[in-house]
Amino acid sequence: MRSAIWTKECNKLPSHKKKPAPCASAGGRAFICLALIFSILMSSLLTSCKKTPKKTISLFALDTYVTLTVEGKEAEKAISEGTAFISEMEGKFSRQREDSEISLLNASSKDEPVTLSEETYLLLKTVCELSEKTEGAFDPTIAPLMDLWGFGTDAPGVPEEEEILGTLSKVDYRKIHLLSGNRAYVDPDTSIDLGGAAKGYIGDLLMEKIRSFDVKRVILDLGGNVSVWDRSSEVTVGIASPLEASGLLCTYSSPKNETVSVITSGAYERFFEEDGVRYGHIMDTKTGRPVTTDLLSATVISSDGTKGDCFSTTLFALGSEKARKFAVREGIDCILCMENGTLWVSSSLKGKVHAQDGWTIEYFA
Amino acid sequence: MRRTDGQSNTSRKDLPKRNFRFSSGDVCILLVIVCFCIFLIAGMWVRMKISKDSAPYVRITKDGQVLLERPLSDFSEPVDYLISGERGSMNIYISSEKVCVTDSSCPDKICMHQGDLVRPGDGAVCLPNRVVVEIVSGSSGDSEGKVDVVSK
Repeated sequence: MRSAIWTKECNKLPSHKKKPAPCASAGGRAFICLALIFSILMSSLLTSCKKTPKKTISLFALDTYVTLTVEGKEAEKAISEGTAFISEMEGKFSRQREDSEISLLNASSKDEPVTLSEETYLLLKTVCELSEKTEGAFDPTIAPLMDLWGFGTDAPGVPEEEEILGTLSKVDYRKIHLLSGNRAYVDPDTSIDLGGAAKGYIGDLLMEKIRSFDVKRVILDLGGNVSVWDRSSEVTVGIASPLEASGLLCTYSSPKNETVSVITSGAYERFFEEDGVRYGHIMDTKTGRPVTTDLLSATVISSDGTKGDCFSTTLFALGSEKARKFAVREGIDCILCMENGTLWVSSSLKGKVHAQDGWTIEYFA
Repeated sequence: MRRTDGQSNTSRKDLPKRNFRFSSGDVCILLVIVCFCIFLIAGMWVRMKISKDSAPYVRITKDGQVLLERPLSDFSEPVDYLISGERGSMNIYISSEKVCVTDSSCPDKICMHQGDLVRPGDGAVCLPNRVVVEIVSGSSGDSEGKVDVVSK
C-alpha cells in the first residue's frame, strides 16, 4: 500500500514543481520537501558515483623506488604505458646494464662512435650544456670517482689521496664528444653516469606521456624526484627534512594546470661513515672528495626536471652563498636548507612555500 | 486524501494544537523523510566510526609481495621481524609506537637511516633487498595529512 502511494507521488513531482499554487496544502508542501530531499540525495549519489578513477603503482626501477599516481578516466592505461616507458628508458640510461646505450657509449672510442637514440642524445647534450653552465660543478663523467669511493657497491670506503688525484683527471665533461646524426663517443679513460640528471629527464618525458591520456591529476615520485600536475587544483609537495626522518622542512603548493618538478639534493640519505666521519655521495669535482657544504639540502622547483635535477646537485655542492648567487644568475627557483634552521627561498616563490615548525624562511633575490 | 488535507489546513489555523491531524499521505511522507534522515545519519556515523577506529597499520612488502600487514595496535609487545632479502637479511623492530629498520645486510643502509617510522605516510625503502616498510593510514589515505607527495 505504502509503496503504491510512493510511486504515485513520485510521478506527480514534476507537475507540483511547475505549479506552486496548489502546494498551499500540507500535502503539497510535503511533496516539495520530498522533491527537495530527493534531488539532494540524487545529486549526492550521482557525484559520489562519478568519482574519477585513481590509480597508484609502486615499483623498483631506475635504481630507486618509483611511485606513480594518476587520476582520470584513462588512469589505468596511462599507468601501464608509463611503467613500460620507465623500463624502456632504464634500458637506455642505466650504467649497470651492459646493453644500455650509456654502457655502449662508455665502451666507445673516437674510431668507433655509437649511434644513440634521440632521447639519449638529447639528454647527453643538455647535460653537457649544464655542466658548462655550472663550470664543471656538475659533471656526468663523475662515474670513475664514484666507483673509486665505492658508492653503490658493497664496500664504500675512503681511497688514498693519490688514487683520488689519479682518478680526478678522468672527470671532465669535455671528454664527451657529440657528433652529428645522434652519434657520440667518450675518451677511453672516462665513463658516464647520468644518475644526476636522468631521473629528472625521465620525469619530464613520463609526465608528457601520461598527460597525453585523458587524465586530470598526475603525481610522479621517482625516488624523491617529484613531478606534479593537476588540471584544476593545487598539489601540495612536502620537502623532506634532512635532520628528522620522515619530517618536513616546508611545503610547496604547485599552481594548477602547470607541470612542476620539485627535486631535492642532499647527502642525508646516501652516505657512509668511516672513523666517525660521514661521507656523502655528492662529489666535489675539484677535490675528488665528497663536497663540504654549509647546506643540508637544496631543492629546485622548475618546469624542467632535467635542469632541476642538475641544478639541485650543483646548488648543494656550491654552498649557501655561491648557491644564492648562482640561482639568481640562472633564474632558478630554489629552497636552500641551512644547518641553523634557516631556509633560503627565492623571492619568486613568496606565498607558495610554507615553513614547518622549527624552520624559518628568508627570501633572497 | 486531498480533501482531508484541506480540512486539516483550515482547522490548524483555528485551533493550531488540539485539532491538528496528519493525513495518511503526510504520515507516509514524513515516515519516508525520517527514514532517509536516519539512513543518512547512520551512514555518516558509520563512516566516521570507521575512519576513527581504523588505526594505522604497518605494511612490509618484498618485491611487491605483502609479507606483513597488521595494525600497529597489535604490537603492544614489540617484536623483531626478520626477513631474508636478495642480498641477505633485515631486522625490523615493530612496536605500537614506532617501526624501524634496526639492521640490514644491504651496503648502503639507507633504510636504516630513515630512523623511526611513526606517522601514516612514513616509510623506509631498501633497494638492494627490494623491501618496503611503511605505515599506512587505516582510512584509505584520507587522514594522511595535507601533503600529496614528498620531495627528498
